[in-house]
Amino acid sequence: MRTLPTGQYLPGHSFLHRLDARAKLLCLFLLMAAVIGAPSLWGYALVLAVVALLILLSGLPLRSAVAPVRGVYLFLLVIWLMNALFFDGEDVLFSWGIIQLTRGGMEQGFRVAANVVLVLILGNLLTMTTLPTQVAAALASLTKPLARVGVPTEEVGMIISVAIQFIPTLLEEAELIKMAQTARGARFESKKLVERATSLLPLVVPIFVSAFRRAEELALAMEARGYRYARNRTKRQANPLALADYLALAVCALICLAQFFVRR
Amino acid sequence: MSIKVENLSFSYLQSTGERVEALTNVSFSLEAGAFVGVMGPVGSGKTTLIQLLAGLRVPTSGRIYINGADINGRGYDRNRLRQTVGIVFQEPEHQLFAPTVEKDVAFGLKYSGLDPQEVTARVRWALATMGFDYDKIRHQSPLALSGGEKRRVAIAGVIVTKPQVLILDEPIAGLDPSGRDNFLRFLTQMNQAGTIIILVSHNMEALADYTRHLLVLERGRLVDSGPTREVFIRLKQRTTGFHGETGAQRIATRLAGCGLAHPAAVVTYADLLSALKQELTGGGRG
Repeated sequence: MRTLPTGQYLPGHSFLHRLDARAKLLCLFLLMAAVIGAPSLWGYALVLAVVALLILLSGLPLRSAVAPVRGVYLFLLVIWLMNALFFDGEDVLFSWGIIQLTRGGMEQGFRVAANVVLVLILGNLLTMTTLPTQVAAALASLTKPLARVGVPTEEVGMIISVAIQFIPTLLEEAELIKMAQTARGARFESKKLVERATSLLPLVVPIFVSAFRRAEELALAMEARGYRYARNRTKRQANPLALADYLALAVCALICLAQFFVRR
Repeated sequence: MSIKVENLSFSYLQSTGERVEALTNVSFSLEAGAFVGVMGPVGSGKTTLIQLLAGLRVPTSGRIYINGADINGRGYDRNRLRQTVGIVFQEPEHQLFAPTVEKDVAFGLKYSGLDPQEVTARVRWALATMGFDYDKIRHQSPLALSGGEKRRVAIAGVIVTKPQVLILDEPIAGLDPSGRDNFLRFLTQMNQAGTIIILVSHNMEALADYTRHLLVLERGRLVDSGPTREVFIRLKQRTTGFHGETGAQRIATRLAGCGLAHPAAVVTYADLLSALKQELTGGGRG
């Protein structure tokens, strides 16, 4: 009944869907570095062009691809204003008390807001074109070398995978519980802050109880099906990276390098 | 008390962009004292229908009138609706949250405007109705009770408002046979006291034995409705689509193969018994 939340996997056969999750994850890190290291407006323009191309390659509707930004536009505006009005710059355009609007502040505000927007869209593209289980498996695979120094990468991968898979279930359950409590007279929509905060109690307690119950049931079911802690699990299939994955990685690495080596 | 549903439709958009029609043009009306069963396969729109009836979702189109007032109309008092229509969801025991049973059951009366004595009297009544000793259980944590007790406490938390309409979504699933019978008898008592009961269930025997009218949903459409017996007889004759059948109907069909009992007249075990008596005492088809 619930429409799926932003960032949820959308099945598809696009170029982005077909890329290996490990490659996508590495590309995400490289492009995030490229965003943060963008030396100038041209640097942002380059990443923006790449993001636009990736949206095209993802086959996702534009509205879905940029959906996370819609939820934070007020936050972005506040970030920009805070930087624009309180940044200690030389090129002052307007000043009133401790507030001073500077060109440097406006630019800084733009950079921070642009970083947030681009990173959000990139992350969204990853999660919308990759199954959560694939993301978790990719994380486990990429962190495997850490196992040699005693980091329980398999277990961490399993925890992340299970946690991700339970998000939609818990959201659905939360909605049902909310509906049931609304039917009993709970006022979640109250405009009074205190009433609204206390009204969350009938929602929070059952959700926590439910989450613990599910966790216990799952732990027992996994144990009954032979899951053992600290045993190396065999993979059903080994998927080496394909040519397209290497190409994507190479392009992203080049973009990243370009951002860091091109002078302002 | 009356409920009138007119051309009710509800659809929603999935993240894939696909619009799902959960209910399409459903119309029916219920009068005071009705005991109605809602049946249909999984995904037929039963839960959506009762959520709409309880005012928990807003229909895409169509109207729901309770006592002549459109519950989704402007200015309709939602608090009045919450006191008029009670709904028991599947596994209601998972909605308990308060530190004591008494507080949990009293939750629904928070905005009722009743004075504390009246609230205590209502809670005492609701718990007693569900088979509890108020003084023994009132200070216990609802989360520390057994599964069956939790469910009864949760249901007490719904009936405490003395709703004029009580909607129940699979309330007997997971109950043991005696708990199931007790609960269904309790519903009958509520109904006899004037409460409209709307019971969603996959349990054909419960629907056949306790309800007087049935609504049959299939793929979001109301495909049959009417007196329970007539609907069960029609459903048995259906060759396609949803095919609800009671245990007694299945046995009667088998017996008909041996020349015993007339399957068309049998819906409940009581019918089956009387048909067999008739056969065995020589009053049957011969």
